[in-house]
Amino acid sequence: MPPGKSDILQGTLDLMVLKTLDAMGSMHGYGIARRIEQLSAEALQINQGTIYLCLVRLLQKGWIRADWGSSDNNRRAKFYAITRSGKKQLVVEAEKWERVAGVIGRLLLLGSER
Amino acid sequence: MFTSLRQRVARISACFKARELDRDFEQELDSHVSMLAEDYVRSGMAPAQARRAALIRLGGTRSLADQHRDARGLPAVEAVLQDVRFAVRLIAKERWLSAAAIVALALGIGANATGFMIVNAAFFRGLPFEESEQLYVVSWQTRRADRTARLSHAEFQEWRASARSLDLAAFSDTTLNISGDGAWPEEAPGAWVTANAFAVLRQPPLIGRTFDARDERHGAEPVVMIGHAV
Repeated sequence: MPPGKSDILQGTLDLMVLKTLDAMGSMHGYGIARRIEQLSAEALQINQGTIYLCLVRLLQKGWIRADWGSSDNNRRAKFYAITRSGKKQLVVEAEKWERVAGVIGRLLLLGSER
Repeated sequence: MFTSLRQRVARISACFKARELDRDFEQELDSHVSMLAEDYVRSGMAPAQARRAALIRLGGTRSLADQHRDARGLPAVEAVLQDVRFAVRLIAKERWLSAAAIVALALGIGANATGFMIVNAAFFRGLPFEESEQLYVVSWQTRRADRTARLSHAEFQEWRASARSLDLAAFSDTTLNISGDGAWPEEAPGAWVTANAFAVLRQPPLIGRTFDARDERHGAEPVVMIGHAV
């Protein structure tokens, strides 16, 4: 089934969240949102609330798990961590992206050779 | 494939823990706002303004809570449940109207059920004999609907003799007197039948034998069949 526009956006956010958790270990929702904004050099100013809908989805699919804990300021927050199946999914998604990027790269190169 | 099964299970279990999950999420959002506000304060904003800015940055909490509920549960089912709850509240509020409606429904359903039971017994299920749909009553028909015609024994014999594809047995309703030693005689509804009546109806006896052609002859010994009713 071809992905709709919102599915592509969802998939991208899923990938970013998984990668963040994979690289940084366990984080709370705010931390993940901040990190994604930082990495994208503030280019991705996502509505911070949407990160939680993404996290619900990933939790349901079993790619991440959640535990209550306390943050640096001793604030009670829910911490998320990637699971083993999440790591597997990350590899699959990353490969897909690289393939797409490769194809488009070659296509663009084709145009400029004229 | 397993992910979607996992998802379904997660969604169904989320429906049961709705209040707890709502509270959880509210707490989570609250921490988020606080942490964001702290960052704003650190970058020089006044605390009250920081909190407000944080709330704006997060997006509407009410709509987020709704979206969270839709994302984690079964929104279609929950919508139906909400409607059911609303309906129950309405019914409880308008007692008399609800009572009248319930009584009307009960009468209607009761009448329908009774009617169906009768029709079912009379027409659909048929008589309690083997292949009852092939069982017919054969008789003369009069031109006047209020008179029945009776068949004479001689005519019956003729029919039976010439019938090739049917078995014919004859019967005639009557009232009988049954009396025993010292007991009051009782009236009982009964019928005169030809000896092959039980054979035509395909009603086998529990013990012994039913009537047969021998019993019909002149001077044959009387025989008795005893049924449960007797």
